Amino acid sequence: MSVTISKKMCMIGDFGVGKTSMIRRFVDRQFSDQYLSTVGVKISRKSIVLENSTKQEIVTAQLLIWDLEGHTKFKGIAPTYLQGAGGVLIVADVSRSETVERISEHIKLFSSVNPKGSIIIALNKVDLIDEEKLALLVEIAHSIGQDKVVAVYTTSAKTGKDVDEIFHKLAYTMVEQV
Amino acid sequence: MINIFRKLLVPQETEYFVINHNFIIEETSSAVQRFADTAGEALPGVDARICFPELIGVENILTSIIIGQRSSFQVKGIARFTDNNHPLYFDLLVIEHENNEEQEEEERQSKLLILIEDSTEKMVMKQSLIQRANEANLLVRALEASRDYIDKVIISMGDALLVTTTLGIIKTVNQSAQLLFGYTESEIVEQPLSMIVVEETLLYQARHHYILSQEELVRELEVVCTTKTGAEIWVEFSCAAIQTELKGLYDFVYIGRDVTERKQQEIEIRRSLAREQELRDVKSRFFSMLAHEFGNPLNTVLFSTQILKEYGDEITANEKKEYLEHIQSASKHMAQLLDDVRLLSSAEAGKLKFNPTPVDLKSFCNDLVESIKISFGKNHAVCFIYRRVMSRVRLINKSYDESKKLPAMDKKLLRHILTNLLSNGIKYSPIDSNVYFELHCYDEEAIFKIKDEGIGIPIEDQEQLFESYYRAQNVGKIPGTGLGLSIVKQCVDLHGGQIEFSSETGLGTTFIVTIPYYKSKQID
Repeated sequence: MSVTISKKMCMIGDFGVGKTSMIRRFVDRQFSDQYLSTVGVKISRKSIVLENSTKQEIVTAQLLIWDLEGHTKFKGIAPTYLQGAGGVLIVADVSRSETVERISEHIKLFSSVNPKGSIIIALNKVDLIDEEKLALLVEIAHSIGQDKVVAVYTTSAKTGKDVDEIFHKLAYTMVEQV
Repeated sequence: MINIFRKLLVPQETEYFVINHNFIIEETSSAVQRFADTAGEALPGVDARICFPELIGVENILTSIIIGQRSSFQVKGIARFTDNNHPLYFDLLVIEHENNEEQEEEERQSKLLILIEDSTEKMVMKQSLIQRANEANLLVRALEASRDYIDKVIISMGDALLVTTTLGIIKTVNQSAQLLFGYTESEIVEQPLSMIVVEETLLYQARHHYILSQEELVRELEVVCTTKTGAEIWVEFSCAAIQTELKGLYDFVYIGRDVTERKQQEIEIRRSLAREQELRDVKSRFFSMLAHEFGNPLNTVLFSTQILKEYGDEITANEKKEYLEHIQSASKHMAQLLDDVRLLSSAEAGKLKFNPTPVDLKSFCNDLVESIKISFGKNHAVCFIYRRVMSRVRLINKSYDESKKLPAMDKKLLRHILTNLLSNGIKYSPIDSNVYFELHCYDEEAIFKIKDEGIGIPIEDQEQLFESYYRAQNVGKIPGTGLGLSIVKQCVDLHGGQIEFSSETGLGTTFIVTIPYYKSKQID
């Protein structure tokens, strides 16, 4: 038996943290160093097969990935975009510590719109910093997320590190909620 | 759809479609397909969520509009393109569908009107603005981070850092520089480098040399600097030029390290080496003196004793007496040499005692001159001149009895001084020449002046004249140990006096010894 579940998920975070690049790596298997800022919202689709051993059925999750305009000091993220999302990837750039610090703000915003939505943190651009610094940032991200966050991943859209894994994890978590 | 509504939408380039409560498209405007997702066409009978995925996940909201719990749902700025060169943006507004009055009651509910407005132009403009703002922001942030990092590096540097203009006006200092020189940042910035660097001209020349020739800057430079407290420290600077935003105008970066301790060690090492060299020289001069001065009398002794031993029976009593006198004289000479060596070594070891007693200088010198004349001055005239120079106070106070105010000096040391100088004067002067000895007694000090008409001291020997066993190059065969003047110097020093001389080769030498009276032991 096979079943397809469509799920809306959002990508939020400060501008330039690599939200679009992560989607591009996950959906198109591509990466570009060139920075092109996203305005408004762009929706990408990606279907992934989730193995469900207990129910012995093939579950396909059709992810509707909402790539939202990044947060700037002039303009925050419009809550309308977040309505109806089953989960969110909050992305931060490890080479800009202020983007990590703002994760809590994003968690608060998303939770206010979707109290039951799943939250996963992506500490992106790990190819740019050393291990020691990264370990400290992961610790900070964990303390910020606490029990509201499903997981914290260290990712790199450039190298592809943990990109598929983080989307799969979020897909599983959202489907499990159903 | 009523005609008037269609007419209203056309000029604003607004497209629409109508969906039922199951989200199935019932009606569309002509060009709505342009905004549909590639996954499916926007045609009546199709699930609107396939061609408009924006509706997925918000079904609850759509239903609440249908049942009148909510008036609308809007998503602005939806991007629908894959090629960045052909962007397409639109705003999506979901409202309850106003049904035709003529429709049946059951058909009048449960429909939604979705209005789509092309916002490409506005969004492209916005994208361009945001792109620029974000890029600038990232750049500023990177610059700030980089400046912050450099600042931290500079602050944490153990070495002092100074940046100056071409003219040497200090622009920047780090914490280490403030600590090293003792000034706060506000005290030192805008001040000339000369405030801390004593030899600023050296750095100034280095800067100008660089600017004019564009050659390598003097990189390592050790200069003396003064701190705020006035202390002098040695600082090793490495210099580098940095081009300012104006071509041809340079700032100069100096990174300095306090090397005072090292410098002092170097000076100490040099001093020790010089001292060692000096000792080696003294040793070598000592052995040379030993060979010369003991050689001759020893030979005399050996020769005379051999004659007496082998030919004692054959020689006359007068000859015997002569040989014995030779032996006696040579032995006396050697004993005198040994006395001199002993005296000097005990003086150098600080064991020579200064024991001042009242001295009648005039009579002391008179006696000394007489004994010199007997011992050395058979072929020379020794002229002694005495002068008493009294101050006005003493001259007025006629009742002052001078005999009761004898100055205190160490007679033994004074004898060494004067005997050596007078015997030298005689020894190094031609036969029948004069040696002048003047004694000037002042209220507080006595000046002894010994002038000869002898061979003089070559200028190149004058500096080392008072060193032990040192003898001038022009002494020729005149015997001597090189000890006399060393002994004189030590004895004068013990008196707290001074010795000076002037000399010209071939014309003569004048020694002037100034000895202050020993005050605390003056006896009235």
